Order: sequence, then structure tokens, then C-alpha cells
Amino acid sequence: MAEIIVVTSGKGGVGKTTTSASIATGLARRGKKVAVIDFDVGLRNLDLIMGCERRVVYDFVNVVQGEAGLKQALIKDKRFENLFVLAASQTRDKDALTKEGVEKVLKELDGEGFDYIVCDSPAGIEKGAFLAMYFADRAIVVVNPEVSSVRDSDRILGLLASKTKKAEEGGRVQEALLLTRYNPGRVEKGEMLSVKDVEEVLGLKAIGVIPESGDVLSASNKGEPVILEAESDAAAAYDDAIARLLGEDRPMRFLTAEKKGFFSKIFGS
Amino acid sequence: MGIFDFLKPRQQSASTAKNRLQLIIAEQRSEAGAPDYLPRLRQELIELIRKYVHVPEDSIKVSKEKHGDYDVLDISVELPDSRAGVDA
Repeated sequence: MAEIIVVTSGKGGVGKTTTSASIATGLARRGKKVAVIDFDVGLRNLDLIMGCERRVVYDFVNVVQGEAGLKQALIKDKRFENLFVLAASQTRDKDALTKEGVEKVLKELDGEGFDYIVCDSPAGIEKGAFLAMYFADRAIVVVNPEVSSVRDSDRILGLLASKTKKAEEGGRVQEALLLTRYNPGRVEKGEMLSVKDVEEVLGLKAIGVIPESGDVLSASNKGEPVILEAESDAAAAYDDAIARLLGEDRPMRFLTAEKKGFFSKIFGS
Repeated sequence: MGIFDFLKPRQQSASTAKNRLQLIIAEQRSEAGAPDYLPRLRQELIELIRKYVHVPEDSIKVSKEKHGDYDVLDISVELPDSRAGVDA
């Protein structure tokens, strides 16, 4: 059975699409057959982050509404032949997706032998976000160490525990936090919530901590998931998160600030 | 960052953030799944009680809790200190 992973957050701009792209690509790099679906109907972005925006012919809504077959709409990644993108529609409104339609697509993907289906949720707690999480087996809740993001994450955790298929059947979606834009220097100065703070406030463990990094922007400029950037801390941190997702036990890295040299301490930087 | 940094007071805004979040999230979680009428009920109770005794807004707490098999509507009203009331 394909495992369905929703990447969600409540708040916008925290790194859901960046995370979806990197998790999907990282899983594919480990040999898994992966589909990543953009649920943000009307505001598609995943295609840009994955670098396949010029190759979108049919989208998720076309498949849901029977206007195109799944195979026609799946865009094969240029880098990994076992990685596929299903883009969101740019022109439809969010009511174009239905629970039954989404279920049909997920079942068909499962039938095609996919190991993982990564659902990139839109921001907010409306229909698109609800549909992205409804069929999930696991949830990665992306959170920035910042008050509004943490509060919104708690709302999302509440919805995962009540408004999902798993919850309705008396089960539970397996949830984990993923901290992004983490700045260890500011944490050490007491200016930013630490991983421990966020874990404690939300009562949930982090599966990964991605340090704030310029590589995220430069990767998105190029249309390449940041996990593929060589010698990037953010890429290494995403790869660690995937290892943990697959059950490996890896210590957290990049949680301490780089020590400053003598001169920069004296003269400032 | 410079040589006189140690003279500036240390910023510890992260702990303020954590305290604020712990309060708001505890409240958020207690409200989740609560019936829709609770806020209105609370408002009407405040108005009713204020006809007899002046209490601040936050002294009335209304929540629905589960005690075993029963749902319990828990209403708690904190009355102001009577001596303080006389002084005022």
C-alpha cells in the first residue's frame, strides 16, 4: 500500500512546498516510487519548485473531473525516473476538488505501485487543506519557531486528530513536526524559540530541523528541490528528516551556531 | 555585535513567546470540540451575574468536560475580594 504523507502547517509561507518537494525528491533518491501532489488549486507553486512548470499539460483537477487520465497528467521528473509531479490547476477555484475525486486519484496511484504519495497542502484550514489531510497516514507539520506559526500548527494538529479518515475510523494520523527557518544563533541568544520549546508547547517531537539558509532561495530560483544542493546544511537536514521518516535513528544536526572567530567577536560582523 | 555588547541588557524574548504560546494553546485546546453555544452562554452569564455583583470579564469560565460517561458543564465564577470591594 502506498503511504500517504500530508505536508501541512496552517500558516502560509513557512515552507510547505519547499518541504514537499524535498521530501518527495529525497524519497525518490532512495529508490522509492513517489508522487507529489499540489493541492493548492488556483495558486499552484509546486511545479516551479520542482522545475517542471513548462511541462504541465493536464493537472490534478483535470484528473479528478475525468478530463484527463492520471498517466497523462503525471509529470515525470527530469532527475529521477521514479518521481512524478501532479500539478494544481491554475484556473479553477478550490471547489473543483471533491473528497470522492481525491480518493479516486489516490487509489489509482496506489494501484500504479507508488510507495509514497506526498500531498502538498495549501495554507489555511479550508477545503483544500482539509482534502490534502483527509486520507493521510502521516502528517508532517511544518512550523517556524515563531508565535503565529506555532499557534496555527496547534490548530492543524487538532484537525488532524478529528477531521481525517483515520480519526473518523478511530485511528490516528502519525504526526511529526518539521521546523524550518531555524536560526541557532538567535536561539542561543534567547531571541528565538528553540526546538525543545516548540516540541514542549505542541507536545510533539520534531522529525527534522532545517536551518535558515540562503540555499532555499537559490534552489527555488533554479527550480531544483533544495535537498539536491551539494554541501548545503538545509539539504543535509532534509535528508536526515527522511532517514528518520524511514525509521532510522539519527541525531539532530545544525542546532548550534557556528563559533565566531576572535576578530569578528571584537569588531562585530 | 561589538566590544560593548555585554553592557546591553540580554534579550530573552523567546521565553516570553513560549509563555504566551503555552497559555493560548491550552485555551485553544480546551475550546476545540466545545459546543458552539458556549461563548454566547458565557456572555449571557456575565450579563446576568453583573446585575448583582460586579465581576471582571475573565472571572467567568465556562467549559464542557467529560467525567467518565457524563458530559459536565463546568461554570466557575470568581467573585471579587469583598474587602477590596468595600475599599473601592
